[in-house]
Amino acid sequence: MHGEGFQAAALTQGRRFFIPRGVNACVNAENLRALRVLFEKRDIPGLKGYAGNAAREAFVRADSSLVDLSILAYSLAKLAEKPHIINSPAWKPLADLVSKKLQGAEEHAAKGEKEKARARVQQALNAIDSLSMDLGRFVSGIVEKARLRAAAQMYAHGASLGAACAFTGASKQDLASYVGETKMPEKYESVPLARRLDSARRLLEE
Amino acid sequence: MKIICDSSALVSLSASCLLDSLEFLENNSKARFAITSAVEGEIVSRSERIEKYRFSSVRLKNLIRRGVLPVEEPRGLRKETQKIMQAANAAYLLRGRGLPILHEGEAECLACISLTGAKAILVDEKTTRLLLEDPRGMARTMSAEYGEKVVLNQSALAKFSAFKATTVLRSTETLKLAAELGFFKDYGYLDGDALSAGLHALRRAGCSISHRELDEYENL
Repeated sequence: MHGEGFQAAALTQGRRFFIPRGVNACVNAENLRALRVLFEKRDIPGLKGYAGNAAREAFVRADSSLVDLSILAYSLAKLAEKPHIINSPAWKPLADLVSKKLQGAEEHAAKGEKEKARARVQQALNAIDSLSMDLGRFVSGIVEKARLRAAAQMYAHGASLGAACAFTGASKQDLASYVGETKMPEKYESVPLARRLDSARRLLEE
Repeated sequence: MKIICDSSALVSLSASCLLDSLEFLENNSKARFAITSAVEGEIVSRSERIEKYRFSSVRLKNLIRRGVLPVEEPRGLRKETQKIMQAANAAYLLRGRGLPILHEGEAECLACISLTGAKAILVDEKTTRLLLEDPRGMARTMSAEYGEKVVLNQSALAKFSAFKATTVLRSTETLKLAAELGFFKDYGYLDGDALSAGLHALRRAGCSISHRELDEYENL
């Protein structure tokens, strides 16, 4: 099932992300197939896990194409968990289109046509955005929320606010307020508060 | 005393309607805030293209226009920024490769400090702060997050020993100092509540401060 030179990522913590050995880009046929299968099975936890892993690896490898996969996976998870969306008449055409685009992306990736594979992923994302015209304002925020989640994942893994936003296209304001609503800042204490304030007071008098 | 401001702190202050505290500090102490052109690009040019942040962009642009936040452009800034970025993005190694932790805006703030002799940076995001104050602690946190060992590249990290004397301020500290100088005087008996609420608002707006530290502020 796996070609030569590929190996499954560590399965600790439920990670299911295929990382090619010695290859820079991870938008490969195996990863695209894994995403398509997760989507077609409507495996929502799997899609969310995939999204998190893809965002993490996008940062580690400085690979923005993986950000697209993360955003797509998370968007599909959020759509699939809404009964009023999957029961709407617009859902099946979208789901079929996304599967078709992912299949196309797999075929291109298998031939080493990375840019064409990436374009198919983008088309799937555009289709999700377009769905907002049929299903109302709420859906149009899903891709942006997915982008923000990817950025937050990178921030949690060491990226600065600027780096996380640069990789994902999220705005600093959105990411800052998102982080502010999480427990992430609890982990980042450094200099004791009293000492920091004392230094600052001295400097204000200089 | 010159304080170089990163966009993260300006974002928190703007979102919390506390930008005036910077001008207040300038009028009531020797603090002098400044930004770099990359930060100007982030908080003004980029933000004014996003409708919901356009007013924030205009307010910051006005502070620049009025000279409260002058833009510093010391000679050699671009070159020094690149050196700092290269060092920062080679400092933390995972699976043998450097993690690209820092962006141009943050690196440019550090470069500006290095070239102008500024004594402090105002930054709310955590990576820049931890890089200067607790690089080992950041490596431990990252290792825990990845479930893999993040290794420190000591030769890259050596570049940041030059910032040992740099004071790192967050928007919460500048608000506290402004309050001590009377920023909330007009609130009368509500001044304590105003400060407390303002600190919490800054945290919610993205200032990297823990709840334990916020509790500590209540007891100061």
